Amino acid sequence: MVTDVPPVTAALSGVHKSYRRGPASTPVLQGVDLTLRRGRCVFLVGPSGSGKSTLLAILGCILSPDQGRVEILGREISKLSPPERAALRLRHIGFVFQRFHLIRGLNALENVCVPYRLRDELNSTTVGHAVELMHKVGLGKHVQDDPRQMSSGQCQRVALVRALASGAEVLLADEPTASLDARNGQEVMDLLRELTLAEGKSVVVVTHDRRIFPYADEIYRLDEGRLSTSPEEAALMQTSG
Amino acid sequence: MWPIAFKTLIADRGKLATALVGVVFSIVLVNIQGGLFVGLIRKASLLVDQGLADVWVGHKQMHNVDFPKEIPRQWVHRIRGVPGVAAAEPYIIGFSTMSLPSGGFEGVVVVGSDRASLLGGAWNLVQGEPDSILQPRGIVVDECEGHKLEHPQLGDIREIGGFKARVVGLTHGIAGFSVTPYVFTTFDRAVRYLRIQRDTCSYILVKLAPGASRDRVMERIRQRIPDADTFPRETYGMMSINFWMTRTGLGISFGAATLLGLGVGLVMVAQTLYASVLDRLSEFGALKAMGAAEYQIFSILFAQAVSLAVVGAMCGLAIVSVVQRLVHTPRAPVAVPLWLSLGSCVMVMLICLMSSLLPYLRIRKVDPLMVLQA
Ligand SMILES: Nc1ncnc2c1ncn2[C@@H]1O[C@H](COP(=O)(O)OP(=O)(O)O)[C@@H](O)[C@H]1O
Ligand SMILES: [Mg+2]
Repeated sequence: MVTDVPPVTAALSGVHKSYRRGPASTPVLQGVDLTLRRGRCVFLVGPSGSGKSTLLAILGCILSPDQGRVEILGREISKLSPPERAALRLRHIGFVFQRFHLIRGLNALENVCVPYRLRDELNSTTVGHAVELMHKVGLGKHVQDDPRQMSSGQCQRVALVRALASGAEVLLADEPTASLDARNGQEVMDLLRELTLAEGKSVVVVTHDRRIFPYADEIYRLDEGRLSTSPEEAALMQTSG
Repeated sequence: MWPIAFKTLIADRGKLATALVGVVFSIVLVNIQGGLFVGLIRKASLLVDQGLADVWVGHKQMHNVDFPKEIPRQWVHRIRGVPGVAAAEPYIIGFSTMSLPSGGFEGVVVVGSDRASLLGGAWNLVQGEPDSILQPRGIVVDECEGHKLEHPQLGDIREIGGFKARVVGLTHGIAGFSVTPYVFTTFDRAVRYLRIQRDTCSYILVKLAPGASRDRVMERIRQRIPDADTFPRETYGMMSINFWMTRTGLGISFGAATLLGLGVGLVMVAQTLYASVLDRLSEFGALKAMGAAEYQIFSILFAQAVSLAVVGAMCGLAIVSVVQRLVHTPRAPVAVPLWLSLGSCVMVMLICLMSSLLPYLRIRKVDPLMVLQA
């Protein structure tokens, strides 16, 4: 029974986080425990302002918790300096931002290759891999296109490929389908599952979008600073049946 | 990071153009302004620079080639006896007035050189021969000063200090710093025009024998004539330049205008780089979130600053060479020395790097968290 539990990629335990603005302090996370495993897709849901992005930022080594332990690929984050955290993000964490955040002036492929450039790994092999991925997500005809001339669905795919191409083990997506219509949303999620889970990546998706719940392996609701599982959402999951 | 830097820079075409205009403006202003200044101030040492003498001997505390005080002409014999001196000739420079055909008159600087050697004589003759000056009453004037002297032609007669003079040669481009035209003639005639004693002169010009040590020769001259000042050509040229620089404050006004130009360029470049960074804060935030190191972020700005400086400087220098050709005249020469062009490029490079520092400090404050918070 123990053998079919996939290995852990990231783990949060007892994480607290509050934002201070002047003397006032807003508690956002109040004791969050979360474990990510290889090949599993975790959904985070919850009302706006409940701290989903904050949790994602902590998982992504962008933000440090006030309290609690964060371990990513076996490394305790609080022991790392800011440059070491940046290096860890560069190697092991892929982000898909809600607003894409593609770089204006670079074409689709160049945007996808930015992480390679940052890692000093830009060469014909890596570029070939990027082009191949772009074909897989249906961007084969748009490799050299300017993202400003592309639809949001296409831009979201470019952002997705950018996060995937670099080979990160942990993929964090903040509302990846929020700016997409239903069909594009489904397609992006299909791709996300297909391209990550097969390779044993861990995926966290923050979303409001109930239509994509069937793509989740686990769904957690963030409310009042804590995570909980709710039967209502679990019923919508693909694997729940 | 250079390709990212270039492509994002080119993508912001309007801002790129503004920043380039700033750089080009700085380069053109510094070079043309500086070139006019150098061209103007070099006139102050024209006679020294072109005079072919290696060493100038004159009155104690001589300080400007155009304003000498007379010295005994006999000193020339003492100097000729110094080993290493190939030639030593008396030279005379003084103010007089020339009467013009219309009945008017014009102040002139009479320059008289030894008739055998013509050391310190006119150069750049466009009409007449160098030894035409030996003809009776011969003088050589510059065609560029023609309007002041009512356009003298070869053979025209003028009167200087009450004596007749005949134009036997015309030069091109010998215009001094003081607005008074030069009149070249022989030593003896100059003495007459200037109504001074025959046994005095303004300077003694010395040519060294090949291989002679200038320092040693000057030392010997100083020993023989302790009452004289003795300077190498370059030194006396610089002294004449400094005379006008310090007494007119010309350096300060030209320098201030140039600094102002650099300042305007700096502001234009800094403001456009800053504005384009503000436009792209979230992109830089995304780069940081993806794990870009500080030096990588900085190298984007660095590359942009350097390429702005290089491209702007090249365009600027091209414009400078065109403008220089268009506006250069002997009376307002634009002499852009290499050090000025190189110096302006270095300045502009520093300006661009400085301008990239401010946006960098802004980016340093960008929290990658911003890209996660919609
Ligand atoms: N940098 C910040 N400073 C102060 N308060 C913040 C900051 N970021 C987020 N918050 C607050 O923290 C709460 C959680 O924000 P967030 O994690 O973005 O929620 P969600 O992504 O679930 O909408 C919100 O109430 C928000 O106003
Ligand atoms: Mg959010």
